[in-house]
Amino acid sequence: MTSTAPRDLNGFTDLAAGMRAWRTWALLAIEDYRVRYHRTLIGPLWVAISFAAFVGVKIFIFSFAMSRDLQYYSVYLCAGFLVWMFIVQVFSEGCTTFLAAKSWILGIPAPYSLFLYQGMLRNIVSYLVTLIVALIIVYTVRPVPLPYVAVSFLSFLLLIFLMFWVQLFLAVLSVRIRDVVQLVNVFMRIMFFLTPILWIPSAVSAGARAFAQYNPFTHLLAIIREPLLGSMPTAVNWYVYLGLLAISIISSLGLYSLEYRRLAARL
Amino acid sequence: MAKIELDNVSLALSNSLFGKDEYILRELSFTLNQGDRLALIGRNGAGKSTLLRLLSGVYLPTTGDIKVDGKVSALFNLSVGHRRESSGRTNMIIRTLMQGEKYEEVKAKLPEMEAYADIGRYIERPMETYSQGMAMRVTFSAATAFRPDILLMDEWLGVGDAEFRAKSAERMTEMSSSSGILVLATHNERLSMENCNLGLWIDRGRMKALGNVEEVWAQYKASMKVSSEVPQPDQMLDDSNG
Repeated sequence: MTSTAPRDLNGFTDLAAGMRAWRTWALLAIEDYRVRYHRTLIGPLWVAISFAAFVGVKIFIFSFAMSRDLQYYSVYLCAGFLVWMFIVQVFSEGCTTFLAAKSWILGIPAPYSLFLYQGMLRNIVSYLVTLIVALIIVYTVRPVPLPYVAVSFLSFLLLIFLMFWVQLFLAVLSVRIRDVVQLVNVFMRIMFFLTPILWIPSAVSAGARAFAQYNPFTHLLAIIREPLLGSMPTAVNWYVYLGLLAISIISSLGLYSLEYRRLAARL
Repeated sequence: MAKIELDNVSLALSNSLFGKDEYILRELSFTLNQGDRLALIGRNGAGKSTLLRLLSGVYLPTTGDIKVDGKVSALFNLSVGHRRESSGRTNMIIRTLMQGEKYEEVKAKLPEMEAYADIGRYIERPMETYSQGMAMRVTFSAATAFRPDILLMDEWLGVGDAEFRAKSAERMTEMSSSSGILVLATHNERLSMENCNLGLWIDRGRMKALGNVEEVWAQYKASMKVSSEVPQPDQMLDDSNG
């Protein structure tokens, strides 16, 4: 193996080189997951229990405030919260992707993107148990035809693709500006209440309904949640998704290329 | 053929958002060819370890060009990324994969790595159950399992109990003599004389002298104005390894 420079990579080639090392990040992600429940009795089931408990309590408290029937609201909340959990996880863990890998990055010359893929896979794996529990709840409470479930699943894959670029952007930005880590956590906590997860736009004031339309998270939730409620996402939902995707790819690749050569020097 | 070329390389690290970049290395230019053995000499904080990181590709130069031909192995942080909750075996696999070794080769080499560490069935248990010596056996075995063209080292490694230390010393000698280029950052005069033909003295990030290792050491020592009665660092090294 020869190279013309010790790290003959730029932002673009780094993403490809990291992908080629899939065995490495797959192993790291699986070890992360295994270690998280090291020496616990029921391990990953805790996530599912916490999810089921949270959703159950919220349904109990908020269902009478919403005009829709209980079944509809249960599925609405369950699916919405499920997607939100994933988004929040990517946002908050995304910020610390490179910061947490500091000792690796300064200790061994490997493609940085390896840690992005590791983080994304870890998020997906730790999410699977919750996903299964949520789908069981949705399917027992208010079954929808299988093609709708399939659309919802495809939308979820599209969300993962979008979230990868968001993660890249936040990971690089947080190395440059450490405050981003805290800022994102505060921001996401506020957005939880400003996004239609607990509340249904049609059941609240006109002002809140209008705001929901301008909140990009509303549309990201809709492409996955709507099919589970038995209707298809609207064209606007998809336009917003595509717009967010374009912005995320361009800005994250731009920032990564710009910061790439100095990333380790800033850690 | 292993080769390293630096052309007017400077490296700045930045530790704050609005603060000025701090230049750790300035205007370094030198070339190392196949067979060269370079000792990096200089005070603590002179930039030796940072230069090793630059040569390995961890840092990219802020200005100037660097060209490295050959597979590089960086032995300056043996326990990097070490996971206490994972088994010794898993840690060996992770370490070698991160080094850029191919999965098939890692798998083929695994029995040999485990035999070398020689900690028996403990290899399957979490590393948090290991003694410090056992953990060192595992990390050393993995870090030195593959042969590079260019070997970068921060101080000479000698680890473990008497038996393992003899074994590891043997491997270090074999590894350094089989590599095309060796760069060794050290405070140990005897070791650098034994293993290196060239010396590079770095002071506050700048090249102070480059040439024959004995001459560079002589210049460095003259600048320090210390008597030869001062204990040699290799004695301290012997005490520091448990």
